[in-house]
Formats: sequence, C-alpha cells, structure tokens
Amino acid sequence: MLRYLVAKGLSLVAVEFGITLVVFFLVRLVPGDIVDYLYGQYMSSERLDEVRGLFGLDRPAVVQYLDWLGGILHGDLGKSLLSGRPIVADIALRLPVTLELTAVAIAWSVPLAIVLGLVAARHPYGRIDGVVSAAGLLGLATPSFWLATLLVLGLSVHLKWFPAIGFVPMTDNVVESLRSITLPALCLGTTMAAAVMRMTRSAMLDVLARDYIRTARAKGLREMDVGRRHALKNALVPVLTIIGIETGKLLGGSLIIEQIFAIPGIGQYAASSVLTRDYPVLQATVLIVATFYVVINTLVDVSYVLVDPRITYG
Amino acid sequence: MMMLLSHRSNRSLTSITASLLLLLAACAPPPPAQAPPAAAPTAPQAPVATKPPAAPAPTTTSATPAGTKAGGVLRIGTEAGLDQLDPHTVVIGWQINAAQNVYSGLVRPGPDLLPQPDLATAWKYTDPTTLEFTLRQGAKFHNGREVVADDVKYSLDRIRDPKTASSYATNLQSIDSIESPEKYRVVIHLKNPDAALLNNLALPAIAIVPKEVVDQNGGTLKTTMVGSGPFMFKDWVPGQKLTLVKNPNYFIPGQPLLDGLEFTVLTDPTAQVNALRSGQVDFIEPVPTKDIRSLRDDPSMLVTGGPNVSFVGVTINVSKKPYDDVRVRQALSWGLDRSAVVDKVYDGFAKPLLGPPLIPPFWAGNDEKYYSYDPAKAKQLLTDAGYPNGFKATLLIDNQAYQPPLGVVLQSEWKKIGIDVQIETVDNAVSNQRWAKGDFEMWPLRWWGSDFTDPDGAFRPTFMCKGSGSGGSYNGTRYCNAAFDGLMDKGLTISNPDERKPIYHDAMKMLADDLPWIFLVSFDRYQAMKAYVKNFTAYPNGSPYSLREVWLDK
Repeated sequence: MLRYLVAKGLSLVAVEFGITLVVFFLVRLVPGDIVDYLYGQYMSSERLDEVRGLFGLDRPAVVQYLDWLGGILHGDLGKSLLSGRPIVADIALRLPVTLELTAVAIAWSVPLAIVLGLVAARHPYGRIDGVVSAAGLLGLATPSFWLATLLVLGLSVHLKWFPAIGFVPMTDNVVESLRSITLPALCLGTTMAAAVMRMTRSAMLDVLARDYIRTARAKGLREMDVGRRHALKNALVPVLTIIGIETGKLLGGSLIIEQIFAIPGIGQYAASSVLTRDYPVLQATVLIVATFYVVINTLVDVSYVLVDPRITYG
Repeated sequence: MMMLLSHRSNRSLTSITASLLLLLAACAPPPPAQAPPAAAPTAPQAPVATKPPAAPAPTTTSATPAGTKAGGVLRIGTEAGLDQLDPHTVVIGWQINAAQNVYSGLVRPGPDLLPQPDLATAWKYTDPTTLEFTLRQGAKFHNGREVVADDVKYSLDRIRDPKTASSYATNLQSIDSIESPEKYRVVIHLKNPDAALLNNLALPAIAIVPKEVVDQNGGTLKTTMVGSGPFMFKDWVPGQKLTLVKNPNYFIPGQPLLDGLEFTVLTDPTAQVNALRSGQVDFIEPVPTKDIRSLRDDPSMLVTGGPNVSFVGVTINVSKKPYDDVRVRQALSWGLDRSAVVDKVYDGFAKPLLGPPLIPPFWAGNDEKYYSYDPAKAKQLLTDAGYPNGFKATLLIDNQAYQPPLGVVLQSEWKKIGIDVQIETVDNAVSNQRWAKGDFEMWPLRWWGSDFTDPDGAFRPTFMCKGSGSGGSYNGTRYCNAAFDGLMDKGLTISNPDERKPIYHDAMKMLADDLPWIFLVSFDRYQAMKAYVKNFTAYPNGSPYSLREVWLDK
C-alpha cells in the first residue's frame, strides 16, 4: 500500500508537470491576449505591440514558461495581469468558497442518491422505482443553469426564502452562510445525485441477480442482511468510481453556478480569466482543478481497498 | 462667451466662490474657454425620476441638507468591470463609474455634460495655447495630505506616459507640458489650440492621484484607491465586489449623504434584476430592456434614465473589397430597416440613427435624417457598384450580450437586398484583436456616452487618417478623408461651442456620406432602484455621477 502511494505520488508530480506544459501552451494557442481584450478598440496594432511589452508578453514563450515554472516551485503562481494582485492570495480567498460549495453539494446529494438507489433496486420496475428512475433521468437531463434560474425565480424572487445572489463565509455567520449556499449547492449537486442514484440502482440490481445472493437468501438470511452484508459492499465499487468522477465534475460545474449566483470562488475566477485572457490566473486555476482531479481519483482508488478486500495494491 | 462656468444653484459651490469666479471671468481677457451653448441641452426628456425639492444652497457647515436623511449603504449591482482599480487605465464602464466616486478631477461634467469645477475652482486661457487652473484650497486626499498643483502635474503626466498604457493619453494629446508654479496654480502648455481639452479633462478617468501611493504600490494603482472624492476605498475582491465608505472630509460640504457604496458584479443581466427584486441590491445599471416595463409597473421600484447619447453601429473595413466602394456601404445603410434593430435587439428602447452618430441632448448633437429604409435604392446602388446580385459578406460577432441578436437581425435585413451575410462568432478579445489588425469585414461596435464629453474626443481617434499622436489610433475601419481631418483640426481652434457646433455637424454629414460605420440606433439607458433611493439624477451619458447626492428614505 505504501509503495502504491509513493508511486502514485510520483506519478502525480509527472502529471502536474504535463499539465503545466499543456495549459501554458494551450492558452496561448487561443487567438487574442489581454492586451487585445483591454486595448484592442483603443489603440493601433503597433501601439498594442508596445503595450504587450509592458505586460511582459513580448518575451519568447519558452522564457515565460520557465519563469512561471520556477515561480511554481517556489510556491509563487505569479500576479494577475488584469488586477495586478498575487494569484496565491486571491486563490486563498476563493478556494475555501468553492470547497464549501462543493462539500455541501456532495453532502446532500450522495447520501440521498444512495438511499434512493437502494430503495429503487429493492423493488425494481415497481411504482417507487418508476418515480425514482424518472427523477434520475430528469436530474441528468436538466441543465444546472436552467434549474438555477427556476429556483431563483421561485424561492428567491417570489418567496424570498433564500438570497438570489451572493455568499456569506462560514466564519461570518453559519446560518446565513448555509442560506446563501443552499440554492447553488442544490443546483450543483443535482446531476451528481442523479448519476450516483442510477449507478447505485443498477449496481445493486446487478449484484442482487448473482448466485451468491440466491445462496444467501436460500440459507435463510433476512433480506436486510442480504442487502447490507452481501449486496451493498459489492455494489459500492462502481458507485465510488462514479462519485470520484462526479466530484471532479462539480469543480467544473462550479464555473457556471458561481457565475449565476455571483459566488466569489475558483470557478468564477477561472471563467473571467478565460474571457480576459489573464494567462497566469487561467494557468493557476486549471492547475489547481487538475490537481484536485488527480487527488480525488487517488482517494477513490485507495477506498476500493476498504470496501473490497479482494482488491490490493502490492 | 464671458461666462466661464455653468453654475447651478443646486450645485455645490458656496456663493462666495461663485461670485469670485464670476469676478475672475469678468477680469480675464476674452478666454477661449468652454461656455454652455445658448440652447443648453437638458437632461433626457423621457422618464426621469421626480426629484425631491432641490436642496438649499450648501453652506460651509457639513449639515445634511434639509429634507434628506444621511446614512445607509447603497448596494449596486454592476455588469462588469471591477477587475482592476487604476483610474488611468480603465476601459470598462463600471470601473469608471466606481472610480469617479473615489477620485476627483480638475473639472467634472455637469448634468449637461459641460465642465464644472471639481478640484479646480477656476480656469482661464492666458493665450490660445496656455491654460491656467486655480485649485481649491484644503481639498485632501484620503490619506490626509492636501491636493496641490504638483499632484495635478504628476497625474496628467502619468496618463500621458506611454508606460502607463492609458487609452486616455489620446484625450490629452495636445498637451506639450505642465507646470505647477505655485501650490494652487497649474499651467498647461499646449502644442496647438485645443477647444476639446477642457471637456476631455472632465472625463472621470483623468483623475488626480497622489504620487506617494503610486510609488508605495510599485508604480501601479491597480490594487488600491486613494483619491480626494466623496467615497473612500475600503475593500475589494477582484472582479466581484468593491466596498467604498463615506469620506467625512470631502471638500463639498454636505456630501456624500450615504455612509458607503457597495458594488457587486453580476455578469448575468437576469441575475441583476433578480437580485434587485429579492432585495440583495438597491440599484442596477443598465437595466435589461426586457425588464424595464415590469420594473416600471412595480410600485416598490423606481426606474430612471431614458434616451441617451450612447449608440451602436457596424464598423466596416473600408480597405477591403467590395466595401472600398462607398456605394456598397450606402446600400448597406439604405437597405436596413433600423426599426427591426430597435424592436428585436432593444425591445423598443432605442431610436433609429438615420444620420449622424451624435444626437441631442449631447450639445453638439444633430438630428438630421440622411437615410431611411429604401431597399429599392439599396439594390440600385449595388447594381451601380457592379453587384446586381449582391455578394457574400462576413460579419464578426462577439460575446457581448447585444451582439448575437444584432447579428441575426442584420443578417435577415441584408438578405432582403441580396447580401448573403455569414456570421463569424468569436469572443471579445479576438474581435478586438482582429479589428485593430484590420482582419475583418464588418463588426458591430457600441459607444457608451460616458466615454466621451467632446465630439473631438469621439471622432479624432476613430475617424481621422492617423488617429492621434501619443495614444495611437483606434481607427479600425481604415477610413481616411483629408476633408474630414481638416474639419477636425479646425474644430479645435474655435472656442465658442456655438461656433464649433456647425463644424461637427458638417463632419457628421461627411461621415453619413462616407459611412465608415453604418450607424444603427441610439439606445436608451435606464437605472432601476428601490423606491427608497432618493435624489438620483440620470445624466444623458448614463454616468451615475449623482450617487454623492443620493440618500435612502428607509
């Protein structure tokens, strides 16, 4: 296990290095840079090139890359070209916000999805299963931005139960923080809930049809024990996999949800840096989100061992 | 002509200062300074909020004007633009709007968009190329230091410095040098007479900043704000939120009335309206046109604003075939039913621009109608130009909210005269880049009224052959007409706005004939606020200058 973790750690470094290369050169392939964005309407092409020099964008790309890489090794992600602020400081402000949002989204969606999935699998093709499965399809098919608009119109604008926009940090006021995060977390978690529910249901159905389940039933185990001791544990592996994938997707989904609810998180930071071509910010946010992906997948891999003793990492 | 300032009783000058200024005006040699045109343009006619009775002339004490209430924070939803805070390098509307509440200039625009005193209490031309300002005594930066002549020199020089990369360097291109001979006296030497300079100095981006703060921040003002205006910087989350608090030592007594301003960026227009309705913000600008009617009908809301000097047009690369033929451009202008743009893009809250781009209430505006909708005439012009069956055109469209619907309308309109328009969709950074490089055929461009105070500032860099000296041209259309350039230069040598006006009317006639842009519509701008927000005055360029006079009745 230790050897596995060390190997995984080393591959993480390699992956990170690959990401820096890809993100750095990929963002520069997109036409237009921050100077075009800010001044394109107001200056001639020649003058724009001069201003590009003021932003340090006239240096060879390789020099800029090495410069950036050297900074990262010293824990310095550089400064935003747009705001002039150190990116590390801005990320320190914004990352906890996105993490809170993601955590609340997972906290409601995963337990609910697993319970619903189990209930649906208990009586497949029955009335309850029909409702749950339809809800699951609907949840997958509903775009989160559309759901967000509906929820805001109903619960914020008309009923005024929740704020339509904004975010209150946990440290300021716990109740207000939860109120401000409710709608965004609800929208963000919907797809995840649907996906996890469907996976739980089908994995359970798959396992429940196995021979050893029939044997367990035949030897007189109560249905409850069959489900808990024999079926659920075996069904959990694909469910954990999909939770890992969906958690990664949540970080991407926060890009849209944070825009709609004006939540000052990483997603919002990344989205605006795309439009303004704020390269250092875009690079830093992609790097962080990619790191999360890798770390979450590693955690999922490790958790297999806990639920299924047949899996080992030698 | 002898009148130096447009001075209003409800404006914030003590009567003593006012008389001094009038005296000064009487003593000075005939100054080629700005005077309000005879028919002073007024604020827009259509829906303007009823204002409470004008406050009595402010006294030297900082008492709250009668009938108003001090205190409270106004929460403002903005569409964009709190990305950086340097007033000299702003490019987006709301950055300027935030900056103008923190910084003061030498002069600032009044409700008629003509210059009024700000840090300067008086000015005069000692000769056609020397402009002298007398500064207010006792005005202080938010760090407690007094604003003096050296700060004015430093700030204007900072804008002019190519290293600052200010797009407003263009507006100061006629300045040769600046002197600060005395603590409260600034002398500006010009390369050539520049009747537009005073108006340009009133742009909110021409802010007076303290040198020591720039130095402390490594030569930039991107991350903090220290001005001498009615509100002081408190907190900022880039691209998200800006918090300002009342400046208790503001040099105009009794202002501001609010304890603070809080700007929140809400990029989605629907989110802005939702936030206003559910009470997270008190004020939004601009209001999405589809929500104007319902907000007006809501008794808990107040909608101000209306017809505006902002406009939108389609810029044309006149160096490309077939657009190098003026008949083709004229055909595009005749063969377009602008009411379709008004209805489908602006929900009726716009006016067709059938001639010149600048319309009243802008002081040099003109309402001539050179074009109407005449597809037959358009087809004839196309035939004359050798395109009887039309041609294939590419229209660049970017991600600014108004562009995609506008692209679709233009496509279907021009199809009727046989022009097959392909829409090429890119994002704003790319459209800007291609426009500057000349790698485009047609691209819509919107012009906010808050971007200009003088027709020269609007036209010189946009339509003149070489653009301007220090800032570089932003004439993306490659339009070049020596006669037009001649009119522009002539316009600067004449100081009386009444005599200047016909020159710009001639220039606009020329633009309407040559059509480097197809001028489409002049669009309204509205502000929506909770009914308890009192005393907001809509300026004809949409600027929220009057936030310093706003108070909350709750």
